[in-house]
Amino acid sequence: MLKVIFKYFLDVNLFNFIYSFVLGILFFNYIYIPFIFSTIGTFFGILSFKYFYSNEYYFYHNLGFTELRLNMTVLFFNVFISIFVFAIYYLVK
Amino acid sequence: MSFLEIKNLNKSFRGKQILKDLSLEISTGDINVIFGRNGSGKSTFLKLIYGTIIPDSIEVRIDGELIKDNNVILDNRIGYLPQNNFLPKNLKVSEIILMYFSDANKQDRVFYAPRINCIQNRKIGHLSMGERRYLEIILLGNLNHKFLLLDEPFSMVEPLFVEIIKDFLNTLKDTKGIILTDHYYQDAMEIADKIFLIKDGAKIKINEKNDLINHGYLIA
Repeated sequence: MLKVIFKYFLDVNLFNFIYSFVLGILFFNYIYIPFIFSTIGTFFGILSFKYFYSNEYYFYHNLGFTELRLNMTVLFFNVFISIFVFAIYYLVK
Repeated sequence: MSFLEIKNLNKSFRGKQILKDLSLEISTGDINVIFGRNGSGKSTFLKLIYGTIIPDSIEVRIDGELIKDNNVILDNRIGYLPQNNFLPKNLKVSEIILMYFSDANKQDRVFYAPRINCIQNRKIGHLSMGERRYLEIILLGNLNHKFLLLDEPFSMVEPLFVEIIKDFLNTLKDTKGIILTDHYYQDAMEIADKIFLIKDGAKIKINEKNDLINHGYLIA
């Protein structure tokens, strides 16, 4: 089942990474990319998945995964990744 | 044997009630077929049961146990085949089988299902509509759900696959209960144990083809 969740995680974060990178460069600062990644980037990543691949949710539903559960998992890991990246950045700095 | 009960199902869209106080009881071993003209609410009926459309009211029970908040997906005893393809197009058939089934016996059962070996190394996006539909049904049928909701399983499927699907659904009856909607009425009627028609938001019991004619679903 981990592979299934990981598939959703990758699909959402493909959008998320593009949005975070572009927003980070354009409007903020590259240091804030991890913060955007775990907040509005995740939000828009999920919205983009819903827009482009909404029917694929049934792929997950049939294994017992609700949208809420999938999205909370992605959010949890993205927050974790962001904290980890910030921690590494400040340690190196 | 398990029982699925759906009671008090109501749904309105923009002030118009499209499904009125529907109820249905099915048990494992039954294939219930639901017919209805386009827009009659067949697909909505299945989505309401599955919980991907919010009903005005519904009560879903399996073996007498109420599924709280209509959380059928989380409960995972009902599977659903949507009208449109739901498998990720960038994955290979073999990758999906391995993702869906951790049990080696189940994997073998799917890999050795008729015609799967011909397509197992192809990506979903490269399969024909019929091949995709067939694969989806084989995958769903091998999951552990007690009940299946199948929305147009014969749609866009070539005749040879239709026969294989009918045989497969008949074998599933041993362990599952099925609610199926389709416009391919002859194929659906062949495997049906009970048949209903949804008309004007209500459910009508159908006993033979002539009933479908009398209720305006088919022309004489």
